[in-house]
Amino acid sequence: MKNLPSYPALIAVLLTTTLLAFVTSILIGPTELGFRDLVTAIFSENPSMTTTIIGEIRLPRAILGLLIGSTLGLTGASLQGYLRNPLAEPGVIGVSTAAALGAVLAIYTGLSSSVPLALPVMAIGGSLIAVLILRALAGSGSILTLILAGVAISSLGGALTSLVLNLSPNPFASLEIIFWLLGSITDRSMNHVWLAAPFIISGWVLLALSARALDVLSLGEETAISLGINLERTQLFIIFGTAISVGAATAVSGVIGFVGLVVPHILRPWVNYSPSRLLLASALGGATLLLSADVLVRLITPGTELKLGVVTAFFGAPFFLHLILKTKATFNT
Amino acid sequence: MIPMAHKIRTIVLICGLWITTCLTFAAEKPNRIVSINVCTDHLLFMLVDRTRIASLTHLAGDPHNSMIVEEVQGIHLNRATAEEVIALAPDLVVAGAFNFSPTVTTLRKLGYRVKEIQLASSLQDIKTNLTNLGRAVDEIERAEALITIFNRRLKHLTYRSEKKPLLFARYEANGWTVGQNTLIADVASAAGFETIGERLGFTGRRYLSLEQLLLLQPDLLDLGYDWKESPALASEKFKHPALSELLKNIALVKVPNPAWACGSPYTLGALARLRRARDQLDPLEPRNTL
Repeated sequence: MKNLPSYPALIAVLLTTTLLAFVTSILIGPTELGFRDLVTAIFSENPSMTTTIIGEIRLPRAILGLLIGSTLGLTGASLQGYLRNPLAEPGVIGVSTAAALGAVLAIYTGLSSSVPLALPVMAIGGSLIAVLILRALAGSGSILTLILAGVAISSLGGALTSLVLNLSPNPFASLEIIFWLLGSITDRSMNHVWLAAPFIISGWVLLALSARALDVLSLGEETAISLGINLERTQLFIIFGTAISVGAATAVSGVIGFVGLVVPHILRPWVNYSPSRLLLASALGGATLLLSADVLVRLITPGTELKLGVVTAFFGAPFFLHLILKTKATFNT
Repeated sequence: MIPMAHKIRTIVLICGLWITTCLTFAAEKPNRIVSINVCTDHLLFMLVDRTRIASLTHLAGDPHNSMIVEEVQGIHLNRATAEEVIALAPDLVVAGAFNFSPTVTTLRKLGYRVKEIQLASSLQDIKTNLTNLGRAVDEIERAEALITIFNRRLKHLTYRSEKKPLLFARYEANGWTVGQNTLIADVASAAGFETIGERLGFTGRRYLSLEQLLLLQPDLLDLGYDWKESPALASEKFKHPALSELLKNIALVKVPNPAWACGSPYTLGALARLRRARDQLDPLEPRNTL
């Protein structure tokens, strides 16, 4: 491909779109606030309700959109590289659903109200179990085995989540199945940011550390070992990096599907099919996509917001079908 | 002298008439009444003797929905399924009127007498419901007595002033609030408030974002029950730092959930709390205080 921009140029473009989406996310909401309000809110000495709205409601929402979108893009890219499977993505292969189950157990048993840290930790536990099961299955099987195992884990996780919520004596709990299966970041607070961000960022670090290994792994495992890549360490980093970041993200947002599938696929040609370069690009692309989707849910149905998963599935599912058709040849072998 | 035979005939005739009247009366006066709606539970409990109640809903025994938890102990409680109702062999079933109620349709098809009562969306509706149900259970006098007491208390609690109503918001789990044509709006208006939903111009119940609540700054806020003992995301908003910020500036009133849930004479308890809050917010005119 000749007309591709250079890698730094691509990153610069993606950084700009992410920043634009981030600012738009802060400016869009049920109450109309202009750019001027935003500036006043940041620099004014005496806090007003506008300051509270921007600082305590809009800002945490935008930060979570940024963190969660990046996580989904990044883990999608690294799972696809690591499993050498174009359909791998935390939502599709059941990692997010398993994390949601862990989070649901922590919240509705009352554990997280006494120990707030239990929420991200239990969600990470859920996603870790899912990744380990998938690893065991994918090691021996084809692309199809992994996806089918993902379908099984997703349905079981979804069913158990519904079960826990139905058993809760709280009359609102069963309605919250929708949140956990479709995801939303409406009216989250800074508490959620502080709870999830340290885990999410540690996960990113682990994944970033395995970037070079991913490049070499694309040449095959044996070649990678002969080139001095510590395969076990790489595996651990990717498994834990994915589980920790996806687990913590899902704990505060519910399951948001397809972002990790769509973004790496669109960006792959633009980074010349380099798995390591795809990581940063996909993280930024994921953030742009999720922040934009989160702006859309506020614009399409103001007042009663759509769930994020509805919007991401709307463009993600057709894309998934398209990918299945493209990889059909691989399925048959 | 009146012949003995004639005397006896007269007595028999009178007795006969009396028994017939009694029997007719008994046929009209239901004695095994089953209620399958928590709102009719409350009205029925106030209108008839305990012995005539065959069953109330399980919600009547649930402190989150019922003002009569203690009182209904010992009464059979049902879960409002047709099967359960039939097993109780009722001579009258009292239900809430909904557009879609398969239970009521089934019971009617099987020949049971079902009285449907509209859910109250105003203080006037409560009185209408008392009259309607009173007629159905043949306790018209008791219904009228309850209405008289109701009117007296209502008159006593109603806020009368030329002053502009203050802004009141009921903010429930999941961010639900109310507007025009709701019982809460009617009660709030009697207490000298306007609900946040009326200010925004919507009817019925609707979702209100935390942002809008913050911007409109109600004078008085009533937060719904927070379900601390079995947490869910629905009540997580009550812990939001932005809401705590708002609570620093405005007054808070605690109205127990069951007082709002159903229109019954117990609703006046909610009115009393709102009225007290109104007087505390704005104590300038002593002639308006009670």
